[in-house]
Amino acid sequence: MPLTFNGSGTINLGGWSLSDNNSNSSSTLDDYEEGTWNPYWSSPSGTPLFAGNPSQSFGSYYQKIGNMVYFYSYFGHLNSTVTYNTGITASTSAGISGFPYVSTGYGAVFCYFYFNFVSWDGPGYGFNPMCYIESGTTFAYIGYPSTGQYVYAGAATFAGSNSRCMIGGFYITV
Amino acid sequence: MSLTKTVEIDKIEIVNKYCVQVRQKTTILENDNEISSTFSRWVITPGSDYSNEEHRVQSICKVLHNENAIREYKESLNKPSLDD
Repeated sequence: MPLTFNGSGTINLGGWSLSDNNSNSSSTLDDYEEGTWNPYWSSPSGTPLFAGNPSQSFGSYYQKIGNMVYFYSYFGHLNSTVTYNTGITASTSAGISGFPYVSTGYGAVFCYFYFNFVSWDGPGYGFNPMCYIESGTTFAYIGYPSTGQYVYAGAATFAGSNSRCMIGGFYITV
Repeated sequence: MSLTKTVEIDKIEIVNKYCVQVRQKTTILENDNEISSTFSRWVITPGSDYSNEEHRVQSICKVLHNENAIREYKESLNKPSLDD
């Protein structure tokens, strides 16, 4: 099958196409971008928990393929201690902000926190967090399963040096 | 041969009514010809501090992020739709 260019920003590659125009076709790749982003711990409204101590990124990357955003980050805060008095509710929980695109659907987030990174208002160290990005936002809630329900992890204290977090996942955007 | 580096906000988008999506492009030029570039992105949501943003971004946020937008956005976060 020959490679053809239709003169309007679309390259036809046999059974599929590359296009710089928005396309509804399921066989057209109409967007691609890669770059960096800057995650940080925050309240749901985006207020940084470590004010004046920006997150330290050891590599935070994204790739947008079509309308799907894939992301990865390894970040943390050195010599940081902050007390974040919360209850375990959605509005007072702690999570991660800074995602490169607005999520237009629920996003899956996989994360791992270094041991001794944080003391939660929930299970002890080493619990397996469940994270998701709320639709219409750039905020990832962090929670854990408890008696069959999703419970938001309100953090009582983020403390200690060499705190680290590894996260990755994907979500839909426009 | 001269190498120069430029950093500019090359894309500003409004998504979901009031979220301001910003893309920064860092370019390496050799004799004014681009030889490399990278992107970095972030989003300014209603209620976020945008005082350190570039003046065009600030202007857009000033218009969009009024009290209603901030309240609406906060309400959406206070009650995640997964709770419904």
